[in-house]
Amino acid sequence: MSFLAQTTTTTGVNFPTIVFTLAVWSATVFALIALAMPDQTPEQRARIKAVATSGAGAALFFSIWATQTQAANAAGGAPGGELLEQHSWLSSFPFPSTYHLDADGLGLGLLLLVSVVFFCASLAAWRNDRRVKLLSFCMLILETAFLGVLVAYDWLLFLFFWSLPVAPVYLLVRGFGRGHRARAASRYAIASLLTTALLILVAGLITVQGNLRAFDMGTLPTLPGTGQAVCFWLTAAAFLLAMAVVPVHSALLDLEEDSTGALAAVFGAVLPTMGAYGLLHVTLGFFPIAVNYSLFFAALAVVTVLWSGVMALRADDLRRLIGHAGNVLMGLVLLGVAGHTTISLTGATYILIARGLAVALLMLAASAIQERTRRIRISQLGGLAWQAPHLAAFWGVGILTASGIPLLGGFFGELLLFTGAFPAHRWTTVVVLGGTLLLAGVLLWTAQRVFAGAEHEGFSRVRDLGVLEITYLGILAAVSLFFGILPAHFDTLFMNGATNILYPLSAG
Amino acid sequence: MYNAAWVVVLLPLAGAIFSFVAETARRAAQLCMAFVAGSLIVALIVLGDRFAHHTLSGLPNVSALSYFSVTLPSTGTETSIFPSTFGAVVGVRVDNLSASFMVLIAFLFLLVQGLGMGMLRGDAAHRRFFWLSSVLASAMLGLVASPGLFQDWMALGAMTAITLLLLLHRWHREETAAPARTAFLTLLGADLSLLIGLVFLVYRLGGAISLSTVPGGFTAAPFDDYRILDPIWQNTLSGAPHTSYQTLTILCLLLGVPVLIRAAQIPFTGWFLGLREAPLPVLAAVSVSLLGGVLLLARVYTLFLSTLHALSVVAVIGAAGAVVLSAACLASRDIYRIALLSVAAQLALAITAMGAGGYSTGLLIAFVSSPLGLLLMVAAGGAGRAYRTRDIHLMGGVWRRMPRTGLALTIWALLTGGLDLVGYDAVSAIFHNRFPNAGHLAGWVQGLAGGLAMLAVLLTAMYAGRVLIAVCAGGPAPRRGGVVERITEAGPELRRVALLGAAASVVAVLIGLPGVSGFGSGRSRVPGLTFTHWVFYGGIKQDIPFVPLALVIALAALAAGLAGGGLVARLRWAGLRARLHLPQISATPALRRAGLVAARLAGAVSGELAALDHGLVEPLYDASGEGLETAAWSLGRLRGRRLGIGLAAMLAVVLILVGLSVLAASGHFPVRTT
Repeated sequence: MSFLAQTTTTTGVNFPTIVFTLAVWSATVFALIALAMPDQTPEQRARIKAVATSGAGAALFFSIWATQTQAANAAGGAPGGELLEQHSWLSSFPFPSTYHLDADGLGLGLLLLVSVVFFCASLAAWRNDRRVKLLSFCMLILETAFLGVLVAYDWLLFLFFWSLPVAPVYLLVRGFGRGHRARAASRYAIASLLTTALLILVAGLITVQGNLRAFDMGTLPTLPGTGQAVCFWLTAAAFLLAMAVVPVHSALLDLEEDSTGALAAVFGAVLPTMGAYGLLHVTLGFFPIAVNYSLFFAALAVVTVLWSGVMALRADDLRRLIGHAGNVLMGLVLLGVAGHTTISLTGATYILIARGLAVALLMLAASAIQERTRRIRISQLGGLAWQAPHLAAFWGVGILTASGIPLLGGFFGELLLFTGAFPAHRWTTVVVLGGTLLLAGVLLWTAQRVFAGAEHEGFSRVRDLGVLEITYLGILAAVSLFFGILPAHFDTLFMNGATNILYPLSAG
Repeated sequence: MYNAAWVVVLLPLAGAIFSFVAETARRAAQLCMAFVAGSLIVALIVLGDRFAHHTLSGLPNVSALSYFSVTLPSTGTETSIFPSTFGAVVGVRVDNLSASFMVLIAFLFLLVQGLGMGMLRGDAAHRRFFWLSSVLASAMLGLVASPGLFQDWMALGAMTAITLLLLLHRWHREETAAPARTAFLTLLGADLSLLIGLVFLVYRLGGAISLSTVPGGFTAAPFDDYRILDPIWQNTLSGAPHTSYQTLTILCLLLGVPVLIRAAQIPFTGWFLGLREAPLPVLAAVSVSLLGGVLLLARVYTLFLSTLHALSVVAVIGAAGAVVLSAACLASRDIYRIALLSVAAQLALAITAMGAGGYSTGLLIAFVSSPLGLLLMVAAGGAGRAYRTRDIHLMGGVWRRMPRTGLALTIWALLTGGLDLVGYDAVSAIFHNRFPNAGHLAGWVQGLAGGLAMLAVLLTAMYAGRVLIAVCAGGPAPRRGGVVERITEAGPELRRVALLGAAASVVAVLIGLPGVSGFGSGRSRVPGLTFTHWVFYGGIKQDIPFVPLALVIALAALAAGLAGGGLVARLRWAGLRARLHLPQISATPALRRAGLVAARLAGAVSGELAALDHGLVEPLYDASGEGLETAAWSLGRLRGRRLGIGLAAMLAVVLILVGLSVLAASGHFPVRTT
């Protein structure tokens, strides 16, 4: 039991539970502090960076606190636990809304992932000296938005957090992107606003048709068959668009390709993860009719895995290749959804975390490569391991994590996911497994093209990773190793989360 | 005491970790070797304790930790598919098999690292080789001492990753990239096949069998332990409602493919043979890891026993593989390639014996042949370095110029040629033709496997004789840049490793002698503690009987093979000298004519085999490594319109499936859901 969890003391005073609030809003507090600071001299800019890193660190600290508190509890991972926060918010509204923060096992796992990725991204952002205040502010607001989505248990709150990233992402891509950054930013904004519009429609339908008379997400709506089917398809469309699965994958890939440094890591690792969270938490959790459409998700999983695998094979841009690799892993998550068992959904949770870690690691490594060589096209690279062996080693950890090699993040998720999905979709499972083999081959081939081979004359002055880079890449690698060696630390947590999604009435 | 097995598994890993703090690469290497040696000592202690207390019972001691365990919700229908408590353990299982093979594996990796000390001095990746080989040793020991298929899968997956890293020892060379990628993808394919096997095992058998009938008190998931080794579980299996012939056959296929890939058996040999550009210590480490395939087969043996015809298929594939690999050995001139082929060929005989029901015999063959394979590699490394070539036809005179290496090669050739009794063991197992569950091979399968095995034994003796005569007899072939005086004995480290390898090979042969039975009575009775009395299936001890016919065949094969191989080597040598217009070997005209006819015949046969190997088998494997480049190149040539058509087609498929899904939701289309 944590200090900040709801406890009864000997004096009879109940301390309010504010762990989720601290996790979500601490980044915003630091963002506001950064906004108020001057950024004229290098020292001042360094202070802003320190504040940004502290904000991300604070969010990470409270996320770990929340996750650990729940992981230590046998019933942890089911909503309504000791960390629940619910306060009256818009009570005089026709449809009252509450400040309801809670998280199931899925949300807690992703809370950890998002805060780790943002912390590493904030460290990576130390290398940037341009528009420091804008970068720090937008990234911290972005972190608040993502963490908020994961713990919001009120439709209004959820929609607020869901729509919050549009402006920061747009500004970040326009301000720090490269290539066709204007087009990428616009396409992302359109896709994001479209998903928001769809979700607003769903929230309205649920609230009105479900006779809830409130925006609270903690209560299951009782929708008629047609209404449920409509809501299911609307949310599925919104979240699949956010996950950027085939055939709606272009917007995110453009965003990843035209972003730089830490931003590419955040966009690649976190943005689609939010879509996957929505698909699992809302589409599957709220609409039991989803079980009837498992064939659809299975087909989409196959198409996404194979199509993205083939596209990765053809990609020449390093970031685009990583984006396609991330999409392959997202196809695995879709298979978990199609499996529609607690085991497959638990596996999907592990896969989401491993995917986020692998993509973040590879994106940050790709940025390190680009920074050193001024090149991002694979065909123009080669022999980098001569000058940067540590960089090659971290790249290796990234591809082994993505390939599901035992004792790294991905393997345990694959075991659960395939075990859970096999009874419902046997051939699909085998085909998707084949897709992972293709992914492993592509990633290895890329690694060999980039790092192996004869020493490149143009790269003779390339230096290896510095201490800062080793630190943030090392953190990501260590977390991947932790999830590979000790997955049991979270198994009950994630299983309870998956149980809550599939059988909400019996969870906990 | 059995908890000490944890130490055996973890010590090499600790050595690898500690090697990072060593100041110099040499000190790191010594640290790794010291930890592997420590592991060997503890493994010997565990083996000794097992001898003292559990000589004949064969019952395992398991020390395990829960790796994960989840309880499924009782609300849904999942408990009808999966066990209600779903989980897996990791740990150590000390039985006679694991106690023996832990000693062997630790010893072999010590030799491998000794080889690395001798051959990689000054190499840029010296430190990396040692910590990686230590981690590989740890993973293999984890596989040997694994209490269940889950740990098997984990250990094999870790071995796949480490193998890739080892093969990238010379990562900057183009010629190593494609073979390393091929090997990695092939091994990863094996791991995925095993994963599907595990998933299928859980799905088809997990919730269907009454676990209360299983001895040992295990109640968790099916791959928690090796229940499929237990005869009682086997009986339960055969009566289980979900267990059909089809189910067992699919399981055998899914678990058999990883066995064949891991042991580099046909048709999955290419990934292993393509590695010959890697440094010899790396090849030695990878060749030791081939034992993993045989061990996996031993652990899932019950499954194969329970399945109609599965062991027959194993026997025929093994015997055919032994013939092909031995013939390829005979056709090869590259001594590294011969060493690799030889390791795979010997394991093929082990698999043949296990397919014929000789569980103990097969494991004995694997046990005996592993140090022998390593001995050849050590000797090949010394000779190759001294002669600056890997072509055995350019070598010669090792007996005179490198006497200790020559002695090692002689021991290898004589033992491999037949004195190690591997051929005898394999043939006698086929003649004996008796499974532990009292089944047997059909007559024609026995005949086919027996014929192939005898041919393989003959070819084995031939290539051993050929290597011995070509490398050790005569003198080195004159060639540009070759200075005979520079050919000197290998360094002391390599000599030490060769000596240890030779001694281990002889010991391994001695403990496997057939027909040895106990003598004496009462307290002074000495049990006939040969390998087959010690490592056996379930509670059924399999003695290797003394079969005079098999012994005659094996000895005849040895004699004929050594003579034939020697003749081939000498005549090839003569042909080479003739082409170089050097003085011919003096011989009578009749003998010369007969020799030339034999040489032409042998040259034609071995040339055809070499052409088959180079022209058909190798390109197939190269294609899998280079296929990625080819596919990417082809995709790059596709126009955008074609891609658009492809995407449109895929979208159409998705839309059709969506339609079907909607129909299914409304009950108009049958679909399987959970």
